[in-house]
Amino acid sequence: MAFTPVEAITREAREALPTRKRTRARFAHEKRENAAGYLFLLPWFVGMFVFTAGPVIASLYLSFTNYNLIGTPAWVGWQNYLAMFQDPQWWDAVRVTLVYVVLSVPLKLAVALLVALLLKRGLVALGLFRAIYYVPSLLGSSVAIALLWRQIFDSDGLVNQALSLLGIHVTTSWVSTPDTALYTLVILSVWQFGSPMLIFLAGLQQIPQEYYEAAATDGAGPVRNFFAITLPLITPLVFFNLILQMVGAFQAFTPSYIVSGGTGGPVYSTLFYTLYLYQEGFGDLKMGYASAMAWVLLIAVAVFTALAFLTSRYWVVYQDERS
Amino acid sequence: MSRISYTRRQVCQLGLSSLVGLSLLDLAGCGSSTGGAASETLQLSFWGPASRNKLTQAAIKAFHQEHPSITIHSWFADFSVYFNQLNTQIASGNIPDLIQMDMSYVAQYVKEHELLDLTSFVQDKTIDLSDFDQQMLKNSLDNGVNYGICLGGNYECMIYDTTLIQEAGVGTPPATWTWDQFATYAAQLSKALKSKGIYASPDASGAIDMFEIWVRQHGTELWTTDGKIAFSVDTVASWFSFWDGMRKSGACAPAQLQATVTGSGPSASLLAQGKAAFATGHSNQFSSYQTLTKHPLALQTVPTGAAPGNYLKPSMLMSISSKSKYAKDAAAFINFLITDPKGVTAIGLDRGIPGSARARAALEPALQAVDKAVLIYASLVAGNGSTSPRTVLDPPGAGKVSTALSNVSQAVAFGKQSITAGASTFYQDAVKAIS
Repeated sequence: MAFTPVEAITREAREALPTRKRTRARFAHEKRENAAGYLFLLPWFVGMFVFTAGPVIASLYLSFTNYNLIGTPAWVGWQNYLAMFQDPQWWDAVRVTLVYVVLSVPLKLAVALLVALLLKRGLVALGLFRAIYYVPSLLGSSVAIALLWRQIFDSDGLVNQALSLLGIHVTTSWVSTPDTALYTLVILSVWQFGSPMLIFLAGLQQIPQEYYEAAATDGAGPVRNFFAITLPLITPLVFFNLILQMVGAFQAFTPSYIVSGGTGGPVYSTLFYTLYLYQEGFGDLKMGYASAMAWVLLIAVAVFTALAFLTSRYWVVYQDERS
Repeated sequence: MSRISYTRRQVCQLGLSSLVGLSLLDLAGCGSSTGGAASETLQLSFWGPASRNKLTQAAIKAFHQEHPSITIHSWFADFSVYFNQLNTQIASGNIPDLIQMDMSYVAQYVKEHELLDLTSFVQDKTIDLSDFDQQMLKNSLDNGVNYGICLGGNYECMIYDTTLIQEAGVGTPPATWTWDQFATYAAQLSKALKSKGIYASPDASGAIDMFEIWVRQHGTELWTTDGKIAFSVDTVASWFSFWDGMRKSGACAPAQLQATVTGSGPSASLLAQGKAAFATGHSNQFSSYQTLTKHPLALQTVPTGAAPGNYLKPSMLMSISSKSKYAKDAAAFINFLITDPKGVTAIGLDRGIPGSARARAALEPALQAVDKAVLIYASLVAGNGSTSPRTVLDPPGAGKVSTALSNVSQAVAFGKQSITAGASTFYQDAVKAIS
C-alpha cells in the first residue's frame, strides 16, 4: 500500500529521529536471552553476596556488639565507637595513617607524572623502560618486598652502604628509629609509581599535537607548555589516580606489618590503621571493636572520596565538555 | 510472534547456561568431609624455633610407631605471633586438638571455655602424674583445675658468650651478683668490646620475665591472688631508671638497636645476631641459643636483690581443646611426652626440665653437655636462696601487659616519654589490660 504524503513525511521524520532502544524484553526469545545472561552472572552474584556483601553487612552488625570470636555476640550499642575516640592508640593509628596518605599519594603521583613526561618523548627502548618502572607496582605490596625493604633500610643495609660510598657514614637503622621509620614506608609506596605512570603515559600520548604546535607559534617554552596545555588536559587522569591511590593508601597493611614485625614500629611510628585493627581484632579478640574501626575507616575513605569528587569541578577539565 | 522454535544458537545458549547452573548446585552440595578414615588425625600447635620443631617431629614419629592409628599434624610459629595465629585459627572454627599454652595466656582461654578440664584423664591415669613434681604441678593449675600438663620447668637466666668475654679480658662474671655489680661489669665489658660495635647486654627493660623478678625482689608478686596489679608505679619507675642508667653508660644496647629486635626467642636476640654479649631468657632456651652460634655459651644467674626473685616457672603447658573429637588420643600423646622414655628423650630439655621423676631419670644417660649445663644451673639456682615459690597465677589479659611493657619501655628508651610518665602509662595500661 502506498503511503500518503502525510504518512510519508511523518515516516521520514520518525526515521530521522534517533531511535529509542526498546528497554523491556517483549518477545520470548529476548526473554530467554536475558535469562541465559543472568544464569551466566549467577556465579559472580553468589560470590559477591556470600563473600563480600554478606560479611560487610555482618561486620556492621558486629560493630555494635562485643563479639570476641568465641561465644555469642552481645549488643552493646555505640560503645565500640565511643571507646575508639578515647583510645590513645587509635589516635596514633589515625595520625600515622593520615601522614602516610598525605605524604605518599601526592609524591607518588608527582613522580609518576614526571617519569611519564620523560618517557613520552618516545625513547628507543620505551617498552623496556615502561616494564621496568611498572614491575615494582606489581610486586610492591608483597611480603617479600616488604622484608627486603626492611633489610635495605636496616643499619647495615643497602642504603647505608650506598651512603658510605658517597662518604657519609651513618649507622642508624632507618626502620628502627621512630622518627624515620614511617618515611621508609612512604618511600616504599612512592617506589610503586609504575601503575599511575602507565595511565599518565597513555593520557599524555592522547593530547593532540596541534595544541603544542599552536603554542610553539606563540613562542611558548616547555614550562609554559606543561602548565598551560599538558596539566589541564590530564587532570581527569590525575583525579582518577588520586582517588585510586588514596583509597589504596588508606588500606595499606602489608608494608607496616612486615617492616615493623607486627608491632606497629618503634613507639607506634608505623602503626597503620589497618594494622591496629588487626592487632585489636586478632590479637586481643575484640572483633566488635575491630569491626567498628573498619566501618569508621570506610566512612572516612568515603568522606575523602566525596570531597575529592565535589572539589573536582573546580580543577578537573574534561575535554568533551561543552562549557 | 506465535512461532515457538529454537534456533541452533538458542539451544547452545540454553544448554550452556543450564550446565553452569547445575554445576553450581553440585558445587554447593560437595565440600563436606572426605569420609571417615581408619586413622585418626590430630592437630598440634606449638611455638618455638625450628630446632624445637625438629625435636617435636621426632616425638610425633616415635608416638606414631607405638600408635599407628593416630596421626598428628603440627604447625609452629614464633612466640610473638603464635597466639595471633592460634586466635585466627580458632576464629575459623578449626581449633587444634593439642595446644601448647603459656601460663600468662591460659587463664584467658579457660575463661572462653576453649580448653578441656584434664582432671578425669589424670584420675584414670591416662595422664600419669604419680611422680610429678608437686610444686610445679601446683603452679600450673588454673584455680586448682588442671587445664594443661606442664611440659617442663625453667628458671630465668642470663646467657653469655664466653668467647667475647675472653676477648674483652674482663674476667667471667661472679656466681651471684647484684644489679649494681651487673651494671658495673656490663659497662666495663661494653667499653672493651666497643671497637667491635658489640654491647654487653641487651636492653631488657621491655622483658616481662626480668621485670617480674625485679618486682618480686621488691617484695610483691606481679599480681594479687584476686587478679589485680600488685606492683607499684615506683617499682616500675625504678626499673626504667636502672635501664636508663645502663643505656647512658653504654652498658646495654641503645634504643635503636634494641628496636630492631621485633621477634621473641633466641634467633631474634642480639646475642644470636652477634651484637650483644649477654642475653636474658629461660633456662630451657639455652640449647636453642647454642645452636645459633659457634661460640660456646654459658649460663649466668640473674642479679639478686633484697628478696628472692627467681622461681621455678612452668615453661609451657600442653592443653587439649574442649572441642576435640579425639581427647583420649590427645591425652595419650601428652602422657607419652612426659612419661614414656622414648617421648621424653625425643623432646629433651628443650621445653624445660621434666616434672616427672621417671622422665628425669630417663633423660640422664642421653644428656649432652648443653643439657647438663642447664641442669647444673637449675640446681645452683634452687640451692642458693635466690628463689621463692610463686603463689599467684596470671589473670586473663596478662599477655597484653607484657606487650604494654615492651611498648612503653621502648618509648622511654627513645626519649619519647620521661621515666615517670612512662611508669604511670605502663601502670595504667596494665590495669586496663587485666580489667
